[in-house]
Amino acid sequence: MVKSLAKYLFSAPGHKTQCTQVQLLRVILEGDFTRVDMGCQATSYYTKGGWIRIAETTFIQVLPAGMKLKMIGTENIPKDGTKHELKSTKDWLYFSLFFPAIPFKTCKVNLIEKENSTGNDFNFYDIELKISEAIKLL
Amino acid sequence: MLEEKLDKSFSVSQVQKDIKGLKEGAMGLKAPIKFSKSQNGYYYQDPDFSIKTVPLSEDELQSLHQAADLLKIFSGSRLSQYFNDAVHKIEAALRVDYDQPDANRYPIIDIERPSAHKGFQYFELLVEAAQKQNPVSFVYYCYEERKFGAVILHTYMLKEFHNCWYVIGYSENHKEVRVFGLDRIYDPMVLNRKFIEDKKFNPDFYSKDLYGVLPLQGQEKQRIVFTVFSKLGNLFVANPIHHSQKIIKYHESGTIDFEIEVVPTLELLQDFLKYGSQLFVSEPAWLKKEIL
Repeated sequence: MVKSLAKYLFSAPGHKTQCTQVQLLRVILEGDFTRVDMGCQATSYYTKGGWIRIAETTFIQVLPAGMKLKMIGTENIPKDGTKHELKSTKDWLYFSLFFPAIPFKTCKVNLIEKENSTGNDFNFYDIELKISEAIKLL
Repeated sequence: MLEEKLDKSFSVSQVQKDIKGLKEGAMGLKAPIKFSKSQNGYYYQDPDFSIKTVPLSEDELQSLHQAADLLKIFSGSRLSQYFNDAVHKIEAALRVDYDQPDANRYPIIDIERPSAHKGFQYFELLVEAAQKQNPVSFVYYCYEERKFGAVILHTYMLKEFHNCWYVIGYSENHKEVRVFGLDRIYDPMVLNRKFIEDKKFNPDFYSKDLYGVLPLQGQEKQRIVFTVFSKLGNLFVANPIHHSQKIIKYHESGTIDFEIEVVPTLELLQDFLKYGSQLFVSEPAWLKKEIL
């Protein structure tokens, strides 16, 4: 696979999820890695908004049945699965997850925190990365 | 000899006129030109003199220092770095040592420091994106809806109001010109994409007509008449809240009637409300009702 040196952005790509607390916002193909920007909004379920964490084993997978590309880094959220405590039921968190590079082609990708999820995990299916919608970054 | 060097011909009278002009300071130079009998030619009496230095007065230099101090407040921005570098160059030309200022010198102008505000670090990127007409992508968190959004914005201008910065531009998501607070923006990225210029965008609306940044829906530019009681009135006289502010009447009690011509905003409502019973709106009726 020839890696593209150019960086491409997919803004608010279509996807399926059962997760209501976390939004998938942007996917960026950075050449050497894939970055996924996400936003989490605290709920009133917990007194102080509770906590958020991302499993260390989170991976992305290019469909159909591509290799599972394990998360290699995070920004603004612990990488090792440590909890990030939210300050209130109105708190929010913007964070990024980093994965190995995926090819620059039209495809669908799954982002899976936990396989066979019960619904509370950050699983996003069929993330649509359409070349026609990719925007080159300067 | 001069003609040979420059490969041009001059009359003697032309050279004499030029030397006179340099000596008399017609160009602000006052060149210390003397004639040397032994060398049979003209020379500068002060060997350090150069016509390439910039003739700045003390007042002009002082104002440059003050401007540099003001820009230093926006620390971390390369805009200020470039400006400081430019000032250094001018001062170097004047042989003024700005690097070793008077030990007692401190910034004599102090303002609220917007650089401490969240999102201000994106100021330069957004200014440059507007100047070069490059769209930007950023994540935005809406306080009201408590929801994130991935926005693609074609930046037209940045505006400051009450020490908060806002970016204004055409949002591809909303298909119209929108305002975003810099404090709610995350990770802006510059895009290689065709810039959209919304023909309906009117910079005067945002910089002159709007009081603040968030216009109230359905409200157009209008005359607003309000009365301010006693001491507060003097504050309004000394610090007009808008360039259109005019005094209508001084009452015997010290109360003052004012008028402004603005597009009403959420900020106007908030500002009026914070004065409580000290401020009374008489026109228009809808605003009078809101403020009561």
